[in-house]
Amino acid sequence: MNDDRFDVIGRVTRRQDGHAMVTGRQLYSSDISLPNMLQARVLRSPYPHARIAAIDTSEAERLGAVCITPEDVPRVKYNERQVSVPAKTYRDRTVLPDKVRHVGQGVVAVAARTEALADRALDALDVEFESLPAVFDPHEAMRDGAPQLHDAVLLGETVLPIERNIACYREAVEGDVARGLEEADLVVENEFTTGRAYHGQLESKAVVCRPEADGGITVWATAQSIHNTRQLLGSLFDIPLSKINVQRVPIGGSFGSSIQMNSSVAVCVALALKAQKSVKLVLTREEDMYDHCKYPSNIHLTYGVKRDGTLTAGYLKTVVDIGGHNIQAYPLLGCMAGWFVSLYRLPHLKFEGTAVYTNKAPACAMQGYGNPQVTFAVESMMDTIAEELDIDPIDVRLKNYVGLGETFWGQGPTVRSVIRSCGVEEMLLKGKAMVGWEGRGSSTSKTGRFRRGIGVGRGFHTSGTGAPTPGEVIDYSTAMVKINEDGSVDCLTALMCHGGGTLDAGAKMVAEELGVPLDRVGISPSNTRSTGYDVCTHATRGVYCGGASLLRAAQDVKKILFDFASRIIDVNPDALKVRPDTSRGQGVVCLPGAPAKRITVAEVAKTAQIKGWGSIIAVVSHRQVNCPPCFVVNFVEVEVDTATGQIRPMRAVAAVDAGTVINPDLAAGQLEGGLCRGIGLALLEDTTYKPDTGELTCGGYLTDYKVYTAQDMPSLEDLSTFFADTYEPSGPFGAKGVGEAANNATAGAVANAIYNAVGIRLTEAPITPERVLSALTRDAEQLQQGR
Amino acid sequence: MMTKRRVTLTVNGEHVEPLVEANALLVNVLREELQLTGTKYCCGTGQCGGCTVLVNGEPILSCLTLAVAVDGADILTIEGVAKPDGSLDPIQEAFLDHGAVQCGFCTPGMILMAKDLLAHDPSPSEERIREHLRGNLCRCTGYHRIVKAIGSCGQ
Amino acid sequence: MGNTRILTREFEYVAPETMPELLALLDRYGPAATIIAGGTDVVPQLKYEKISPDYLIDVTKIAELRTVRRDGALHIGAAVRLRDVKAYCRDNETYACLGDALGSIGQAQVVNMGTLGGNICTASPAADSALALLVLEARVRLIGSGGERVVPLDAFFRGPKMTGMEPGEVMAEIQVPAVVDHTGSAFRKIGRVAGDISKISCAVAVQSDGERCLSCRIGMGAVGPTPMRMPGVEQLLSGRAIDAGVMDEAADRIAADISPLTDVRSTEFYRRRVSRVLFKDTFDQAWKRVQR
Repeated sequence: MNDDRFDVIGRVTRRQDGHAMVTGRQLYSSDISLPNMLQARVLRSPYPHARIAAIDTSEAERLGAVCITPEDVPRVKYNERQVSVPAKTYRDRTVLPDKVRHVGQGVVAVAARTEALADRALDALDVEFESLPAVFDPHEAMRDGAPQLHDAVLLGETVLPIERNIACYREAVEGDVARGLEEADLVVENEFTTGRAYHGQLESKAVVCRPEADGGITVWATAQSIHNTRQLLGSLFDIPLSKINVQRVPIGGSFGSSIQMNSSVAVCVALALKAQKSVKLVLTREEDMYDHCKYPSNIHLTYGVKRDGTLTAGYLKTVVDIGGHNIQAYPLLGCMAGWFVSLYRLPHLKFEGTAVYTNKAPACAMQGYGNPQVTFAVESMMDTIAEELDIDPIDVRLKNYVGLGETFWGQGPTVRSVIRSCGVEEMLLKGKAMVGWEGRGSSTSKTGRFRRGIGVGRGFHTSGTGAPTPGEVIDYSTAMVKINEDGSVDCLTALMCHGGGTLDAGAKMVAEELGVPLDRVGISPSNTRSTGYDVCTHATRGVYCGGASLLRAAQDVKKILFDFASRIIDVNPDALKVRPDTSRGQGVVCLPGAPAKRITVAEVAKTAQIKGWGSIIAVVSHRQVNCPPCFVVNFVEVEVDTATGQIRPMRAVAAVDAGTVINPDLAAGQLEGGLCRGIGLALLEDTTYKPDTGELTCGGYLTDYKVYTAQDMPSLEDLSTFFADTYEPSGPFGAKGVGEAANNATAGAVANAIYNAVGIRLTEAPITPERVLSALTRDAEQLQQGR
Repeated sequence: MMTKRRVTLTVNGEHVEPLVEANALLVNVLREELQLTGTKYCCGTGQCGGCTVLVNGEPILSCLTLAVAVDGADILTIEGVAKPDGSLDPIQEAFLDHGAVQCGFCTPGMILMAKDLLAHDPSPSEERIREHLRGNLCRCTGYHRIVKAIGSCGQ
Repeated sequence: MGNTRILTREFEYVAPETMPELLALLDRYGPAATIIAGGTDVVPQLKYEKISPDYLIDVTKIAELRTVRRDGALHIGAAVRLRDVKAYCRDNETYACLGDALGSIGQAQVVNMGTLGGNICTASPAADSALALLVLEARVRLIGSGGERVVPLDAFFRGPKMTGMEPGEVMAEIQVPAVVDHTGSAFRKIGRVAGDISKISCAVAVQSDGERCLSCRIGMGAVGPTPMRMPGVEQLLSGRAIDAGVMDEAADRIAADISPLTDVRSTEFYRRRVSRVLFKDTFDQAWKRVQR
């Protein structure tokens, strides 16, 4: 799919970092090794809730280990996620705690010459825990007399007492829901849950810290935001930011789990500062699974609808079990409200969200930030409405979706902008034809043990968190672009690539704008000392926001280039163009229609250097003032084995409206990966806890936390992807995001496909064979009783 | 303290004799003693295939293998897959051409499994590819492009 | 919490090359020694801190334990890799259920590393190869310094992770008797994902004249403390003409005779419910494989 408007954008190109990845030369944080480096290990709580009564490190120290206890680390309360404005940031944790709030929480850390020695030192530690009653269910946690996890936390600088373990509460109301429901011909209501899926990124959280001679530190960490990591470390350890260098390091998958500064980063820094040696801390898989997971959801959803399928009101009430610490559930609840109201037009609406502490691993963002959870419920309900009113499910969606010209506030009440590009209808109709929707039949027509069903789900994600007005979320990126003296280009940004090709997209935009061949545009290694602030590569903002900052810098650079060129070839700079000349492997500045007025970018840059005009360089900080939705549509066909409850995804069509697609292969790769994880959320993944000990049922091992394999996914022929043909006016070259959108609609599509196969509405994800079989059994019993 | 013993290995064609303890796992000897960090620790329990290397031409999980137990073996890690002149193996080229790489962390294991498969079955069916890869987890791609890339290498 | 990245347990590693050496080592170290072959089970057990040996005895260098021999019965050395057994089964349809079982093991790498003896000695109630061998009426030959004995596999398993091996004994080989004519066999399991550990598994070997079940052996896995034979159902089916009614009767009996638990992988309810259909599917497949 080549776009004639562009030279490199929209073309399939090899990713720049690919060569290092296929040859094993890509260095991740866990691969960093420094001279004289110590290895760290962390003693973790076996109790879900306990006060730490006493710690004796003397034996461990005798073994030669450096130890840190809660006494040795800053007592500053912080929140590891720094993308909200300070006044809206809840702070409830310290580097090491006085009281543990979930099994696996770190208590004491040690560093020694080898990991084996560090492990021996761990065994030599003597820690006395005073076990406290624990609570694992969010509803129980809100009851009077339930064990209290936190007495008070800080909201900004204000002390906020915590009652009934409610970490935060958020409400959004427009119109009058009661009236809206009264006006409805049909009111539907149901309850939905999704699990505490685990990110399962293949690289467990890793960090290396080197103390520097000037009192500063250099840090390599699994991080989605090097600048927020630096700021947080600066405030925790009271080091000027000018002495903290956080390196951007490739990350072995993240899916949101390193938006926050991972809990081990501050621990490693504290150890390195105490030891005055480099320290490396890489979590084991089991430690990693106790460190983070997806926000689970419990959603009560009510819709009012007219006979013709027009929605009159919607009311969504959710309780979110956030675990032992609050990694910013407040913006999560704002987003859940936003996802809910921006999916379908609601004349009257209400959202109520409550985030509750429990003695489990802390939950955080995981691809979609509440969106897959809300969309699972909403898309299930759209099918229920369609069924009740005997309307085609696609028509119900087409009638009610929030589209072109309407207000979108997916990122929460303070991030509102108008939708200026929308491919929803195109995707629904094209996907419908591709999947053979008309032939899917109703569940009542299906018999036999193996039953197939096709379901649709639609959704979206935002592209970043920018908005016309400053809100609760910080959002801007900084980029530097420089034309080198041979005509090649350096791009410097703190933007991050988690695998999706964000930086490649940035390079392509710069190449396109400067008319320089792509292989001459390089992404420079970067760190916090050499780059301006970039909030974080999260919220599907990489291409739309980060890319836009690179494009802006390239535009500024182009002005200088033309200015310098005009001096050499004596042409008004405003009349100049630049085009790649592949035969020369160079960009060429030219005056259209005047073949003599040509000069290569290299000649301009070299001349500027020799004559002392200066470097062709620009730095730009850029905030997007829109927050466009990247829409997505999934069609999924499943086969249900009614005898065993097993569900196999057989076929799928996934489409995204990403505006202009920069890297078609990588964008399609996002859709395919998102679909796979979405099916996992729908059918397979959850972390459960032993009620007596508070330990993970799977122990933190992948042996019993399963994720889908190559053999579980539909065949190449049976999985299709396509892109809507749209152009986002506010996006760089018309682009929006893809990332998180890719999995938001999947769980709903799967649940709808199951319904289409067997006529049972399953609302509890993961929809495991055990749950399916129980539901089928109940259904059969009810049928029998009915007779 | 355990006594260390010298093991003799041929790693990516190079003769090495690291000194290892009895409980040293091959993955850690490769990563730490030999600085071949392309082999990854991911799950540690033999569930994900991230630590896959070829021992005497056959894939094993280096996180479940004692280094002393493979004394004398010929080992291929991802660092040895490209030709000595740096040119890529057709499988590596195919991974790049098909967008089969996202975060890259599973890639070494996937490529080594593909090498093993193609050595025994030069034109594997899609089903065969998927079955062969099912012990190697990828969290990014949904496997689609990995399967496609390997399929394209078939004769 | 253990450590799955490194082995923290310190031990000596010994790799004898002959059986007498091995037996002498077992006698010398007694319970302080653990036998290791492919390592796919022992190494995770070390990481989970479930075992704490002072000596690991690697048996894979003993040529005798690495050979497959046939003299009517099939003799598979205990340290023969699953990969080689699988290849053998692929070429010999008589052992179809064993081929099915080995084909259902998750990773090519594990099949490559793991050994048949190791898979049996692990004594997991969910062990795939063990269940298939059970219905093939396999026996294991155990050798100790005091002599050797041959034990039928169903007497070998004593409970989860427990076998009838005496201290100082080692498994030398697995003997699979020749399969009588007109027999078909199959193995099936249900897991969470492709190649997963069984939530529940079933193996069937049936001899038939095309209409009647002349004799059969049925095993169920992950539904009790060990891989289990189902003698009640075997009796029920023997000599009967096979039709839907008989199969329903047998399936009911299966569901009644198993003793599943709820654990991390599934529930008691689920296992009992699907045991019926899993049995029927497996029996059906074995039946279709009967050579006539």
